Amino acid sequence: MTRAFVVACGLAVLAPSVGVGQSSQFGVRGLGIPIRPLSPRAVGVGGAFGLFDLESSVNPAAPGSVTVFTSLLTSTQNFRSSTNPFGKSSGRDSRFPQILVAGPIGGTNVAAAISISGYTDRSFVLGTQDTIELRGARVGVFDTLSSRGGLSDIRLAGAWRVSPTFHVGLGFHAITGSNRIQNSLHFADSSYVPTVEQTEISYLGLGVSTGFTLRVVPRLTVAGSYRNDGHVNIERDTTRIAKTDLPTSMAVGIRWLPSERVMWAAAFQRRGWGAADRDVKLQRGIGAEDTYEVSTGLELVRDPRNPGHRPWRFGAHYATLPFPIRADRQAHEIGFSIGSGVRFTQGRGGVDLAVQQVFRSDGGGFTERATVVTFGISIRP
Amino acid sequence: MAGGLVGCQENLTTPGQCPDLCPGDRIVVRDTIISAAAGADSTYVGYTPRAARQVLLVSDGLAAGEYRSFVVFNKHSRDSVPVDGTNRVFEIDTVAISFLVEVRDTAVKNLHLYFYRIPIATDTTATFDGLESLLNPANLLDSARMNDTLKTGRVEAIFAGDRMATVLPSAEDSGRFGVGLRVRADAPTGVRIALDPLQLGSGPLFEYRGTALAVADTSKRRQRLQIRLESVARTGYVQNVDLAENRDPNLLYIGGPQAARSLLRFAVPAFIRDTAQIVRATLLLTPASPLAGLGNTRVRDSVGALGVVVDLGAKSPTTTFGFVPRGGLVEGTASVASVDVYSLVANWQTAGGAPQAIFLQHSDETLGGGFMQPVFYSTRSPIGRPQLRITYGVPTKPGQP
Repeated sequence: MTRAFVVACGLAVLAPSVGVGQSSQFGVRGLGIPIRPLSPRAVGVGGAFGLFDLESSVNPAAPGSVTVFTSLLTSTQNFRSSTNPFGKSSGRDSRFPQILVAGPIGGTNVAAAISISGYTDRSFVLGTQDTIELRGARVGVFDTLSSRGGLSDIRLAGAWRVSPTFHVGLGFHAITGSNRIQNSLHFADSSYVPTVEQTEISYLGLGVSTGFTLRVVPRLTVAGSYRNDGHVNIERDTTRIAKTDLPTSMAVGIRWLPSERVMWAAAFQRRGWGAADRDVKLQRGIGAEDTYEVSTGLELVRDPRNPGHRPWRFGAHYATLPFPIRADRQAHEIGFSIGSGVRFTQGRGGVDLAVQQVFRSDGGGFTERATVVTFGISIRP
Repeated sequence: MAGGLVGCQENLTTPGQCPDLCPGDRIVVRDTIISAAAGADSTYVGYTPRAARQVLLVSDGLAAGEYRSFVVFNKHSRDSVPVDGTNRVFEIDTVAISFLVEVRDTAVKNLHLYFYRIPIATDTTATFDGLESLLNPANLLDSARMNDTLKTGRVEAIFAGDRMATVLPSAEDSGRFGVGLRVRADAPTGVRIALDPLQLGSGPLFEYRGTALAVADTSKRRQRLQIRLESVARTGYVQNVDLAENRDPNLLYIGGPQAARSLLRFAVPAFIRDTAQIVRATLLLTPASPLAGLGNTRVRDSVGALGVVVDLGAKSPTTTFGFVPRGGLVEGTASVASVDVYSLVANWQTAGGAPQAIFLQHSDETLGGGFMQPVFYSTRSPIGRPQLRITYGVPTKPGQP
């Protein structure tokens, strides 16, 4: 655990440089588009394994199953095609959405984990062309509003193995991050100097989570978690300007092993983003709405003695998104995923890969298709 | 992972149509006109001494005034010429006097430069009437025509044979030789002649041409001996018009023989100075009368705007480093002159930035003058006061959810 602590401290130092999630036109409003704190393995099965996966940060009880020190670093590549009533564009970005270290505390039934995960992402660039009248003449202008950054979730979780079949966990969350926002106006007439306005919005909030995993029968496990994120304080260039309530979340899941080689799971999560609605509107936003997510996935194991080596993973999820681009038009996303992984040096090292195809829409002309490639390296020295 | 590490180049752009899609407000651009601070504008003179002039001005019939020029070539000996480091006896057969015309009115044809012999004591204390009286037919040496197709070029008068005696300096003058200049053409015109204070080869030349004796190499027998100007105190121009001489305190003057400058002061509102993003700033100056000068030249007259480091009135040190914003002056018209002064006004926005003052100068000031002597209305004038037109973006404080 000492090694885990050292690595965790290192990761904490790196926290400000950890990027989150993926850019999307559906992350323009509110606090951005929510990010699922999942490992590549969990992503590969649509997120359904998140409540049971010690490398994900959904359930603070999940690290209870860790037997050796484990660390994980993930990277995502997001290839996106966005369409809206004003045009169509393609984009790409890369992030490091999930970094985690976990391990048992020697001589006890307790395990701990520290992770840095994406919470929301608000990276976007909006471009608008127009003409305005200046000094008696029409002048072409190009408006650009860009935002980079988002919120990250730094979690310290402790899990207690109450019994071999029942684990409970408690997590403390620091929600922090910033948006570097730039509003610029360029003129077609070079007599006018471009005007650029920059600001940095920074956030800080605290949350707590609890959860459990219970193996009901040898092949059936259920899990659940509850999380309250309180509120986040918002500063513009070091001046406190607002606070926004963050959601309480509830998630339940079931995992079934019909055979040694097949694992199936399903999960449901509800997040009360509507709590932020009033605050977002007070800050001249459109609003926020509660969201839910359902996911299911299947893992086909080739070697039950080494389940992480070359399995096939399939999954799908459906989720609603909290911050509408336009009033009364809540967006949603559907994702399909596939993944696999390899383990080497007797399981001490491993890499996992998941590919998602995500479709987002608000039902009113704003659509998006994204291919998200998630790659992870896990080390168990 | 490698792909993630090396593939960090982002493209996040999405088409939008603000304000439908954009959170927060669009940058609104506004335009305002600010008059110069009333009564705080003045004209000062004497920024370029006569001895520092780098050009000669000669005109004939110009509305901008009559200009005559003079030079005195340095003392010298013409008996020998150096060939391969050894002085050889020099047998002169030709004398050439030449001047490089830098600027002329290309629309005026049949341009002639007239050369007059003047006393070598002529210096920068000369007056227009005094020099004009010397440029009479009795002192006329020669004239030389400038090709009508040339915009710039050297004009040369050749003296050979019997005529050479008219330009040979006397022994009492130690070889010094004074030349006065007048110009004539088919229409009123003027020329600007290079003085070349750095001796780079474009200045006036008094040149002996002849044969060096006792030189074995026949290709080196033909030689030239070039004599340059004596001193800046014995070169210059005089004119019969100096608008800044008895100036109207209600008008602003720049340029001219006295190198006049005008100082304008402004009081930009705090909400623009402190928070707005200035995207364009233009100084507007209205001529009090049509701008008389030399038309159809390759170098247009312009008014330069200088910032000041500290506002000390006439002796305010200027921010002369870097680019000096300039605005065109249209010869023969009284159209408003516009100077893009964005760089100066933007500097007023910085904490501890420059004072809100602008020094106006004529673009020819550094050369020692030009034909045009612009006069503008001041803040005391009933019309045409100096104005600053500022276009600025209103801050939006982006970051709305």
